[in-house]
Amino acid sequence: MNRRQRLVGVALRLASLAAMFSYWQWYGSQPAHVATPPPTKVFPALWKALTSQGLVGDTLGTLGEVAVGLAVSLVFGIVVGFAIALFPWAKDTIDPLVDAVYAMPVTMLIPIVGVYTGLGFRGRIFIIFTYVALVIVISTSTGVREVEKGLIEASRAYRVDGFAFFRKVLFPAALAHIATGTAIGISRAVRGAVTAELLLVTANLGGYLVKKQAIFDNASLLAGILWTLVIGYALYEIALWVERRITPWRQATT
Amino acid sequence: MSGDPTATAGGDPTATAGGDPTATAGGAASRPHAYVSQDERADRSALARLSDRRWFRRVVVWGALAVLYEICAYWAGAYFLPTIQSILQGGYDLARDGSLGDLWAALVHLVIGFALAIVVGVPVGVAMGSSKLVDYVVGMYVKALFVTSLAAVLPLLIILFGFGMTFRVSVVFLFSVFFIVLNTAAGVRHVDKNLHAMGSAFGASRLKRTVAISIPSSLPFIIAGIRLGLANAFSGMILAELWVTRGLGLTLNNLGLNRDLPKFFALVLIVTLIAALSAGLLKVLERKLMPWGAAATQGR
Repeated sequence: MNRRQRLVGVALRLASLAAMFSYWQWYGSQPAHVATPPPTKVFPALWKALTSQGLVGDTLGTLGEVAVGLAVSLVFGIVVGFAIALFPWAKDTIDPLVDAVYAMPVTMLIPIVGVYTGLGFRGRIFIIFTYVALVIVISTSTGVREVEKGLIEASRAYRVDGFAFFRKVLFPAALAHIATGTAIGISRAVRGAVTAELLLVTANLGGYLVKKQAIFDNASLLAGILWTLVIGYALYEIALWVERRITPWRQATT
Repeated sequence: MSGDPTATAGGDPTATAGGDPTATAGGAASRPHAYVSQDERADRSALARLSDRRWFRRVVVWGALAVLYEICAYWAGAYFLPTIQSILQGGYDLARDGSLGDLWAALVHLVIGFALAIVVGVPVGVAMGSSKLVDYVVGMYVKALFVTSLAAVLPLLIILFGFGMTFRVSVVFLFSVFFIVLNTAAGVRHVDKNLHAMGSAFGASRLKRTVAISIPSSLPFIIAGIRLGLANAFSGMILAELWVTRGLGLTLNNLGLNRDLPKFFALVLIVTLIAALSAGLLKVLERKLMPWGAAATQGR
């Protein structure tokens, strides 16, 4: 893409954003649409929430959950993913189970999660885990399976085996897929965190939304929703950027 | 990779022990029987040959898991884990006391919302894939909403649509439409440029080329998007149900509160079964449409 095309792209995107915001402004200003206040009310509400109503703290709380949930999922997912890719026994037996569990709407477990983990932090981590772990399993096993045959044969020729083979050949080669899985996993982790905060026990960002909805403070509610969406999107973009940094030899697939 | 690998492997006995089978299995996984000659194969015992069979492995491992689960269930007690037997009984009870009617109603919402998502998502995806202009104007919203947590929008949707059917249908729609749009767009972009060149050489208009070339060749991508979208549509359905706590959501919540775990587990299994079956059906369709079978999936 040359420079002129890129400029046109940026201009079109900005125009689209401007059009969207003007439409929202017009729509929200209609007396009939009190439920959706215009941006001129939402953005001041967002500023107020960030500076004086603790939205920053809520955000950090949610991000903390995302980090812990993601870490647990990564450990589990990488171990199981390697097992599925390397042992035919595991592939034949665990793979279909992964597919089946992947089809399960895990949100369904929310009413009984409390039985096993309590309703607090651990419960939310568990929900995030159910959202993320399988993605990591699938991307890891795909990554290991797609390690180039030539690489494996070369390392065999040089007698690289055992742990060194794992650490120096398999893992780095599979890293690209794991990184992609992690990027997808992060956006799913945010989804899981917000879902758990809304439905399990209200807390952090989800708690903020529920609070604002309960008092019909719609400007703050819209501000919170917008903020949550932006946070999720920003995290995903950061993850993609990191992915590109870790694996410069591979173009991002999404 | 210039370090001394043998030193690492030899220095740590556990690493060697743990690592060795990994290395061998890695080779075996890449080409299952390449190293075993025909004579060797014939020599192997019947048991070893049996254990190469996929169904045998599944019976052994899944059976072991089921037994393990049953032992855990007895050990933990009915208050924490229901036994398999009681889950089956719970499923039977669900069918008799009419709770499955709520599930049916929820599935109707799912079908309506999901059909809308296909009807809207495919054309938008085709437009995004074939026109740079549309991609610039619409693409960023689609991508942003695709990766963020749509659950946050629920409180707003409730205000806009109330607790009725519109709310649930719109949640299902929102949860699935972006998968379909993005996959369709990716599919249309992947279409071989030469086909389009040939089309215009034969004087086909742009519209004609879209209908006759782009859409058919991106069909596997579209089906893959529909499959992934469907999985998400199910979570959307459940989320909406739990949020309004009526019908299926109320049933789930009550079963949870009463700790009627057998019925709860049975309900989860039934929904999972329906979701997995529909996803499997679409997967078969995908393979039929594209027998040469590249993975036409984007995101999960």
